[in-house]
Amino acid sequence: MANDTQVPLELLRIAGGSGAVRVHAVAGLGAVSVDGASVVVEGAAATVDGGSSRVEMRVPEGLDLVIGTSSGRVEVLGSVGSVAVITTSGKVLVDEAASVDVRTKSGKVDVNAVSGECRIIGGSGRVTVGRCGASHVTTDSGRITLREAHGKVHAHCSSGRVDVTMVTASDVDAETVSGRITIAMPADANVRVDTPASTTVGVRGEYDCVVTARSGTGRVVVR
Amino acid sequence: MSAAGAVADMAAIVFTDLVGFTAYTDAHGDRAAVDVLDRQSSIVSDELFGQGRIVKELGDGLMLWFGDGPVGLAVACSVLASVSAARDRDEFPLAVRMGMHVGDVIGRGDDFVGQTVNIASRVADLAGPGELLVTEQVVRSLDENERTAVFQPVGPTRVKGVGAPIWLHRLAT
Repeated sequence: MANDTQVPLELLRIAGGSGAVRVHAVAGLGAVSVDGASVVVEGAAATVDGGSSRVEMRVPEGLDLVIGTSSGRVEVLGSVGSVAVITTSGKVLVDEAASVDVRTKSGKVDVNAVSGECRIIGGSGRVTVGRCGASHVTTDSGRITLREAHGKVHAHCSSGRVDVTMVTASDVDAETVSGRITIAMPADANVRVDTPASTTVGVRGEYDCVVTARSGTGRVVVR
Repeated sequence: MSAAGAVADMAAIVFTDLVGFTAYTDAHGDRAAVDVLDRQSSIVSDELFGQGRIVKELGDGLMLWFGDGPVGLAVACSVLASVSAARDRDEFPLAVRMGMHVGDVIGRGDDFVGQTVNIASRVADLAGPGELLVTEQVVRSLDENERTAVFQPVGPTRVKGVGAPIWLHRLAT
């Protein structure tokens, strides 16, 4: 049986455990409907404590979400507002959000589209982001892939590969200790590149953006 | 400051951790690593200014004690800013991450023990480079009218032995 909130919400907080958390954002929906857990409403915010159960819910589009699990998978489907997720080992999938903040020790992270800031602190799992604004992504050993970055990018990895494709001429700071770094810039961008192998000296004002890329042992390619 | 004993006192506990310290040691050697640890202790000591104390060093991190949340938060913010400024001047090679919680602690010699300490340590583990994460209890310990720091919710975590989820916030910079 579903538990429905009767009032419009601005924020939904979901505390899960080993069970999966799945959120469907639905256009035109006025309230939150939850299967698998009870809901406590305080003002414009509601809190769901799912324990170790699987939790599934339908929420209005644009709602802000704060979610945590231990090993449970987190899926946010549809278009939501800001999304923050903490999980120890659960996989994370975010379909479309205004901003994203994900923290995981080992789970894989996939974000399809984020219009604003994208902050991901990963561990051993790979991180893949589609369309994104300013992005700050760090992992221990997980590969980092940003497919369509529209803002300043900071991508740091201890031992994995880093692949960044920039859509706009924005600054990129990419670093890995042992993996390969590949950065693709827009064809018409006037870029200053700083790498250990190649440093173009110039006044920043002469360039659209600065790309800084460093790999301890891997190859660095900026094109 | 709490005297040693079994009486629980309210306190704020902060943990710091240097991001990438092991890789830095591999690349630059033990002597350089010790210099970084000394520099971290020096920065933190300067910012403490008698408002709290370094309880102990834990590998590449520090455990700090404060008598209340607002003071602990102010010092933690100052430490973050000082490390960031030192990095901008190329005087410090690594980013620091920090976690903070407030609650009861029990003194044991010069050390403190209890779930408040365990939770603060867990919170620091979840912070990213250059970040301070705090628990909801820290945010609630601040006077709303005098609060200048801005926090963003980042999610709940669970700590062994604590039934309820612990909700975390990130200090927005």
